Amino acid sequence: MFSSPAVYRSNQQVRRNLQAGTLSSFTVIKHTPADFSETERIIGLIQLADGRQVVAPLDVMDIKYITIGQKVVPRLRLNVVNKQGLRVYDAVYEVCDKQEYNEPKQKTLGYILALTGPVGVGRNSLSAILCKILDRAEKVVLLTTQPGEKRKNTKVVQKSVFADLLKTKNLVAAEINGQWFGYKKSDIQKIWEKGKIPVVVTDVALLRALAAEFGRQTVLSFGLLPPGNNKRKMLSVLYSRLSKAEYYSEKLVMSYVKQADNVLKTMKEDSSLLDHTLVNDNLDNLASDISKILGQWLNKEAV
Amino acid sequence: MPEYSAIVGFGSYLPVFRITTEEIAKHWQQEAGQFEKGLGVKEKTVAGKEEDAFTMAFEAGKQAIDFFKIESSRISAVFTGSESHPYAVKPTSGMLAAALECHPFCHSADLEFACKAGTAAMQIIDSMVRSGQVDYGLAVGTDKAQSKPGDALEYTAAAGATAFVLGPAKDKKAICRIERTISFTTDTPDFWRPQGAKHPEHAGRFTGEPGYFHHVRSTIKGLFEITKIKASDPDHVVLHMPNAKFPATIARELGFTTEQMKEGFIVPYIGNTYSACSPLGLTRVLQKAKKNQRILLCSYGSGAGCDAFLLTMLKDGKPLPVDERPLKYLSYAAYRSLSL
Amino acid sequence: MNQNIFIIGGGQTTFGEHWGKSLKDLMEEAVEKALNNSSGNVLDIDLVIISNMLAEQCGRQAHLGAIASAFFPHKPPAFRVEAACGSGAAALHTACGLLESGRYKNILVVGAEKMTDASNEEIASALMGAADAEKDAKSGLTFPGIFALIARRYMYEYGLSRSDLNYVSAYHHEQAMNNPYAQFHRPIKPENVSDSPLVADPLHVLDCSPISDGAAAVLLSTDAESEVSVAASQLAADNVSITERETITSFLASREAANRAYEEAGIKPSNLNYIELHDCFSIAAVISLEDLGLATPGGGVEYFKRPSNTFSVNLSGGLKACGHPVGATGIKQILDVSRQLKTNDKEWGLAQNFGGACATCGVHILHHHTESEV
Repeated sequence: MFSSPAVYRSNQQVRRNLQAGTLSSFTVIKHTPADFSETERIIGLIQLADGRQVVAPLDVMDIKYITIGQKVVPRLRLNVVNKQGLRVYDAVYEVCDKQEYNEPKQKTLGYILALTGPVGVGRNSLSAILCKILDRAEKVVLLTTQPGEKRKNTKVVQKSVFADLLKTKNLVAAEINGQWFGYKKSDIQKIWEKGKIPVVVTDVALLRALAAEFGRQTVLSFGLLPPGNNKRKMLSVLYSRLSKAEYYSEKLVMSYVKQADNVLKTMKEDSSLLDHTLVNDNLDNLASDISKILGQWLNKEAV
Repeated sequence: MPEYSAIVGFGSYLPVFRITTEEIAKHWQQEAGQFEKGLGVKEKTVAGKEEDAFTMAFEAGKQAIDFFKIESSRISAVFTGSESHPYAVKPTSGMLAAALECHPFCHSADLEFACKAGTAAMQIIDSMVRSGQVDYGLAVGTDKAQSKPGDALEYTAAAGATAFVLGPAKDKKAICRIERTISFTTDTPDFWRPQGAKHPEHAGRFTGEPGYFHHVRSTIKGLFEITKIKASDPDHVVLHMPNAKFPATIARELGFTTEQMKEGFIVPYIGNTYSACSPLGLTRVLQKAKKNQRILLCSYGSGAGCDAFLLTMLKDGKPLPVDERPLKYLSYAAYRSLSL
Repeated sequence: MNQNIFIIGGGQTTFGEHWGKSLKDLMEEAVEKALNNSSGNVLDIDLVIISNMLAEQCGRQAHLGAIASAFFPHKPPAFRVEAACGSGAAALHTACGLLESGRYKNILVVGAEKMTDASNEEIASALMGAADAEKDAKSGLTFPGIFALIARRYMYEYGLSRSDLNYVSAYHHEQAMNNPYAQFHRPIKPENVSDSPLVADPLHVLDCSPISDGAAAVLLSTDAESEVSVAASQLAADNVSITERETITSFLASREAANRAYEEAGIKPSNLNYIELHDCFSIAAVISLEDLGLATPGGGVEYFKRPSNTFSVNLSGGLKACGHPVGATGIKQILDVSRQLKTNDKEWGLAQNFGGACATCGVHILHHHTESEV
């Protein structure tokens, strides 16, 4: 495969493949075949600008930063050194892992206010207050397959129905621990048409999906943390808040607290997705802080 | 036959990885402060595992060609200077000429002269253009610098590439004309790497006066004499930067001001990219300088020698596209694993 | 089908790691068993067709036809057919064509593979021969990697969750408990699948069919009659590389071969009782069920969570639990469908066998002449 004549022939093709593209699928190969020096490789199926598809290595630190539909740019890199020491160069595709989305797929008519954080930090309570004090804010209905979800503005939907919605491509959604959470694009558009700002409650994966769909600059994201100067304290606060709420079973509370550990970690690592990170130890103060920041933001844009 | 050659396009490439002086010092349990002060380098570039002198040169060359809308088939000479050519035998210049789709009837060969091989390539292309041998030529300086773990060089040996397309000075794409170029060459054992050795050796303080200072001083004084200019004349001065101290010291001695040195002084945040070092400083100046401003460039290569140039801007400089990839800072362990 | 082609004998080795048996030994064993339960006379066999993919690369052994021919006193003509993991179906299809032509009357088709002599790395490399060696292999892709790309895309398009996909391999292991020839006789829980080590994200070790040795042989005849006949034999092809497909969540070659086979046999998917489909990876089982018209697009996984009672899939344990000696699988599928139809006195069965990422797909429909018919 990497003999001199084969490399010579493939070099002619390499230049053709140095084009930007979009990611159709990706995987991490855990055991590369003989010939390849690293044990693991991240590989993507990419649709190039000229319509052709290629499979090629992806230049990205970790698979958790990739989503289908992301844009990639080509780089010429060393692919393999063959048994005779011949260096084989090929096109690899770089995924911007800090998720700077430049071209939104949807025509946007405004902003989306996103409240991100672990379950129990108070996103829903906060969004309720915000919608009360700001006429312009309106909460979007969250669709989920998580049974047992009883909060207001959250609609539990059967998996098959969710799957159908996904197929119509009217949904921006993400999967967490086997359950799906998402928003209908048409719901968001309708709120924009009323001249209002849609308010959504998300975890990091759903936030990423929203940013991918509508463009990063369309989403005004606030990261919310529970009070506590270390993670253990933060998780305890979440546990007690969730238990007090009384509409979750003990099993669901434990599951959410476990998820929260991961969410807090991801919020730290993906901090570029969050415009502001605030601690929620007093809902009213937090709501007024957020509306102030929102006000400043909107005035800036108006100018 | 054109009387002068000029830069008609240029490009540069730096990898996204960085490592700070602080991180390296921490690993060796040394005081970071003394190294930052002594060398003046806060962080340096590090090439990724699949990057090498060729892939970086390709990126720089592609930028030069694409951004300045140069027909690559007009390029019929490619010379690449490096201390880290991927092969001992199989020229980087040939691979570049093919990858960048230069004219198949193309002069090409690889060069080595420590950190001045990139400017030596510029001199060769300059001569070929002026002699009418070629229309356009490409001069590349590229390095994935190696350094022995624990050696002082570890704080500065960096990775990067530059590319200059040169053509006749009267060409409508001409940006910056080469007025004059001279070189100074001796046999001075200040820094070397034997065949097959992975890391270079150097002679400590001997690299200072008998090495860098003597050669840069002699060459620039020679340039002053030949061109009849004085230290205050050039608007921009770019010197080879093995660290921040050496160029600052020789600049003071020769009468260059910080103002003149400012634009091209890239070493504090990039490190020493060897064959791409002073050329990288030049690419920064070319983006900022104004029409009719003059630039003095002097590279230094251990072994030893200098190439000095006097250049004149023919139009206002405009910025190259910004590399939007976020920088990735490495731990020492990650840095070492990348150099395997 | 313009001849009545009957299955008049068949036999297989167990599938597994046969350290003490060579490829030749395995082939001979399957042939012996097939002849022992055949109604015909060995000297009537006028052609032998071998199905095998890797012998040249991993065993440096080509010319398998000649090797097999020497098993018989009269040394009948013999040759080998290859279509990667779909070699079995391709060999059967060839046999049917030659029987229809009338040139031959009794053809023994032998599928065999010896995979445990080579190292895992060599096998992974060799199996990539089923993909495009120039386009796909140079990126470092392996076959699990190709199906991982397919699985992730399927999950994206249809919302399939990792926990649902777990049911596929769990189902197959349960079925294999009743198959004495199967490589694995141990039940697994769905969570075991996603707990097993990752091979190529999102596929884990237990999503992938194993490396196996084994052989299976079937005797097809237009001379003698039996209860089971081949009602349809169709082969279809598609681009080898997934980079040249319009979609990777459904296989064109499967749909083509299946639709033509249903037409040839004059039946609809709802008539089927027993199906052996090509589950080289768990996601392949899901997609194949949909491509065969037995589930709606996006709904394939449901069968493995709650098996239907109108038809049965992969009772042998499939490729996952019964084992997948590549060249033998297509033949073993036919033997299993035939056995299942006879044991339960049902009428229609289907075997779907494909090569690579379904670049070649063969679909055979078997008809069992039930008691009620006679």
